[in-house]
Amino acid sequence: MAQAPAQGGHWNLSKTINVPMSCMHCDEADCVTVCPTGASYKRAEDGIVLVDPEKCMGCNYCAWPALTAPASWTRTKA
Amino acid sequence: MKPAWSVIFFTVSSGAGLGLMFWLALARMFHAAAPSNTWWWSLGLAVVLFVAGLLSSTAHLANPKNAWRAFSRFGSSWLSREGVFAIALLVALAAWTLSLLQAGPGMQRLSGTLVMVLAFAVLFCTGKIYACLKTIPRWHNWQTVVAYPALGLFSGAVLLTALTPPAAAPVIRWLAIVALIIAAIAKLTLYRAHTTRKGLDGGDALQVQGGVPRLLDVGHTNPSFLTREFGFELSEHAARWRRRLVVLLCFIEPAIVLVFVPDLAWLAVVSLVVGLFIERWLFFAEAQHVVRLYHGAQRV
Repeated sequence: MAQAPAQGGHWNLSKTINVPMSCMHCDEADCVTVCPTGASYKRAEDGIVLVDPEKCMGCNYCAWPALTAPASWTRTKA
Repeated sequence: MKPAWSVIFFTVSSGAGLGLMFWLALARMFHAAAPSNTWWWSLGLAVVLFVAGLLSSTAHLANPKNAWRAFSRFGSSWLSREGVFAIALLVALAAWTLSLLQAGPGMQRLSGTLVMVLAFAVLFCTGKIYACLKTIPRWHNWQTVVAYPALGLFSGAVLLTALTPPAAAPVIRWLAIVALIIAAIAKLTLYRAHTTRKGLDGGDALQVQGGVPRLLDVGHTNPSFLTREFGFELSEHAARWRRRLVVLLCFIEPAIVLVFVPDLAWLAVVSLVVGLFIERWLFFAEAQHVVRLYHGAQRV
């Protein structure tokens, strides 16, 4: 994203920011809170947020409260 | 957000069924005589609508064999709470039906009250499932929480008005009108907010000072889950005439029928069914997730 002064000021200040869009492993991960099956969880030892595919029922609900990198699904042929 | 027909059908059908059984249970509180045949058929319809909706919701799942786990997070997840209350309601319905056939008025009132409370609880949870999400500003408001119970109770009341001769139960149609007013206030104020709200832009996303960021390059070169799930585009023009259709079919036409020609309440039912499907489709189509700011949207 580039940033420019609201009114063209004294100089052309321009800044390009690259925004990483990975999971932030939030302290209070909303994707864990909303998961009805408990598949989405925050690992106790290191705080990493993960999804357990063995428990997941594929409702997609965890994708909605996440901010930058909602959990994703890929379709695989069984 | 891409509207999913299984969820649209689920919320409309279950909502109407829950509303209908709520009013049927309330009606039993004021009648000592045994329920009529019409009453039993109405209850059957309510249960069918509710269960059909529940089954449809499981069709939305990518991995339904784990659906039984969905009752395990009652403490944190509104979706889990909805599931628990729905199952509890089915049990309460069975108990209530048995008590109407076999037990005395005390037990009937108790189980009937339980049905009413649980039916309302399921509707409330449905609204909270969407309203609790901070990432979808158009859902994160009181109108979403109110609209689901109000529209469910309204559609149930309109159904009951159509099923019961107005001469026999005049109060039902006035309850429908009250539910209509509450639902209309929620939806109309929400539609107004959609058009007047300033919205969030790149500056809100990055919290930078001094100017509004412009997105130079999106984070993908091909479609992905995110663009498919959250990339649904609905032009303001398309949204506007659909909203007008919702107001006409869900509120104006049923209001006219209920007030002036309640004997023709089936006209209101037909109009409401079509209107609710459009309303629900619009609810999802108009939802804009803030992640869109990172994928090309200038404002959410």
